[in-house]
Amino acid sequence: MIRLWQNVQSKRNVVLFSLTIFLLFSFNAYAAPDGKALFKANCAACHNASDKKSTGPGLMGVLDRIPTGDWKYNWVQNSSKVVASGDGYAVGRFNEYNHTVMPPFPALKKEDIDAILDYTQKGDVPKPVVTTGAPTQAANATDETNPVFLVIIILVLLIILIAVLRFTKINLRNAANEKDGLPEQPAMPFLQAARHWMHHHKRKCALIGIFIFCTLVGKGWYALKGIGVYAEEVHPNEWVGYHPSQPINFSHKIHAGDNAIQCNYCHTGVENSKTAGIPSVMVCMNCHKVIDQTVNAGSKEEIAKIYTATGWSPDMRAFTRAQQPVVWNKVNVLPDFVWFSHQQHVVVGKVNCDQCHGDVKNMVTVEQQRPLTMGWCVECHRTTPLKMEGNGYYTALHEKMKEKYKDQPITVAMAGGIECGRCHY
Amino acid sequence: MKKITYTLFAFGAIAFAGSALLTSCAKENPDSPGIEYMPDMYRSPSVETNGINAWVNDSIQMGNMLPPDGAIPRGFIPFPYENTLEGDSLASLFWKNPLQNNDSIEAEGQFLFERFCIYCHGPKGDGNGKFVESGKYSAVPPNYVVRYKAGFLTDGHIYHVITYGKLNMGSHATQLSPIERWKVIEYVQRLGRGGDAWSVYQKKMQEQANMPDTTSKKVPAKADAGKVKPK
Repeated sequence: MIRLWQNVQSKRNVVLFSLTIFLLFSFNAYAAPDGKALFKANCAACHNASDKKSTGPGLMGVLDRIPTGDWKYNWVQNSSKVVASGDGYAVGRFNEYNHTVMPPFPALKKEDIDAILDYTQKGDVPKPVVTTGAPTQAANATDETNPVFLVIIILVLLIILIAVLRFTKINLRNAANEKDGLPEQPAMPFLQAARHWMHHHKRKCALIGIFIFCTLVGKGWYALKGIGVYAEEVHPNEWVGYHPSQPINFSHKIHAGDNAIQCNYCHTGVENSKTAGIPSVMVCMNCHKVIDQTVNAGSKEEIAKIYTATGWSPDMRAFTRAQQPVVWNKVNVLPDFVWFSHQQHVVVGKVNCDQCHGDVKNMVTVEQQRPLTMGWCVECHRTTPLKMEGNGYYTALHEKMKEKYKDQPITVAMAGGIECGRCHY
Repeated sequence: MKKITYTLFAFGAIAFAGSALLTSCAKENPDSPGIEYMPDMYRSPSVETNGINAWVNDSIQMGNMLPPDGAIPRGFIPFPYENTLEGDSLASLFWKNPLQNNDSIEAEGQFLFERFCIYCHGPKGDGNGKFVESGKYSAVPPNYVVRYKAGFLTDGHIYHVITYGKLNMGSHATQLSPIERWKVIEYVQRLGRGGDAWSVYQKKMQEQANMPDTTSKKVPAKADAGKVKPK
């Protein structure tokens, strides 16, 4: 009997011990569920921990709004059941958020839900990271004085000098005449005097005339060459070009530079179309449905312009208003008489965007940074080696070319890259 | 001689005035590109991509217009499911990947994933992309591994989400062609499986199928979890 009792006792001990261990471990695991981690894993796709609306309401101070009791557990574990039961508050929220069903979370226990709501009750307003990009517009204007104005000033000074000298000369001559008792000579009008002087100094005049003519015609010639060319290289690798203001102050520096979004994310046409394409404002909405404000100055107003264009209502979180197209100003313009394909250059030629568009990643306002003239195109075609690797379509042709131009590098020009009909037809 | 001199002076003056005018005009207004030889050739009356075509009529002035209702490109297979929860579940059941999975398709999918998805979904597909991590983007995308284990990560479902968007995610239908979407889906599946490439995964599945005793309980749970991949 004693043995039996001992046996039972030892068994009980084992049970008790294991129970204690189990409780210890289970309490370690469930004593304090991490509300923030649970929120991130389960809720953050649709809810903000602040009071900002997302797909669902912001959860800051939510415990003050919802009915008390077990309502919160029922709602999280199966919200559609609560809505179906005709609960007033639940139906109200369901209608307010465009009948979006909150998926059931049966895996979340009551402690988890409490932990999440404790975390969100206080609110967690995210501190946006300060971007390095300066929010101000880039000062593209140069402070250098226009040399033309300098020349004009010098010319005006010269004319004044001539007039003063002439005035003194006439006065001196008159004084001399007076002294000699000769009658005072009437002063010639300026033009007449100039003609008089020119009549007596023909060779000098001709030389000066030819010099001025050549210089100015040369200058004029270069000025004419600049018509229709909107970019010039003021210093090596430093370009000044056409940079019109845009209806929305979209900064490529923030998007492509600081956030390193690839060019093709928005300009999707570049690999399968002639034009790279201005992205639709709906592409902006892929991110800006959520990001309605950043640390940059004026960002809220600019993002609100996207909402106006797409008809998005931030309060109702739906496209309810009429759409308004955004009329962007085109910067890099190729005239109508030249045919250019982005697809050909990017897919086959493997040309990087910045080779023709410049340092877009650092542009606040997009600027044309290459001249886009025919000479510029042709120069590149003459010097760029032909990309033959991985282009199976023209293998036979490429083999032929390799035989024909044995010792020299094969350029784009050798494959017909500078023939007139290649671009003009 | 006199005449020539005068002519030279006159020419010089005109050239000078001209050059002064041209160089000064271009810099005055940044919104104006400057002087053009033949404006018609720069801003042509013909239809240009992304241009304003005012000739359509007075109310429609944009060049970017939608195709007529019901028009589809040649060879394009329309997505028959609607942008609803029902459409989502129907697509996840019946919309199948036409591509035969292999490593090169996954590599292409990875390339596209890194261009279009990685900013929010993260390089591992755990919803911890750099926008989410830095707090710029407050909505956290789902974790592919979790969704895969729960059986929700089906090809048709991902296709539905890419095409129509879901919750805070916008539609990427304009950015990814149907074939590109399938390629991305292959890579997303790979991330959901835990990052192993298709060839490794296939070998593993075969090995598990050949060992019926110990792992047989786990295999169907993994293989049948919403997998609709053609073998």
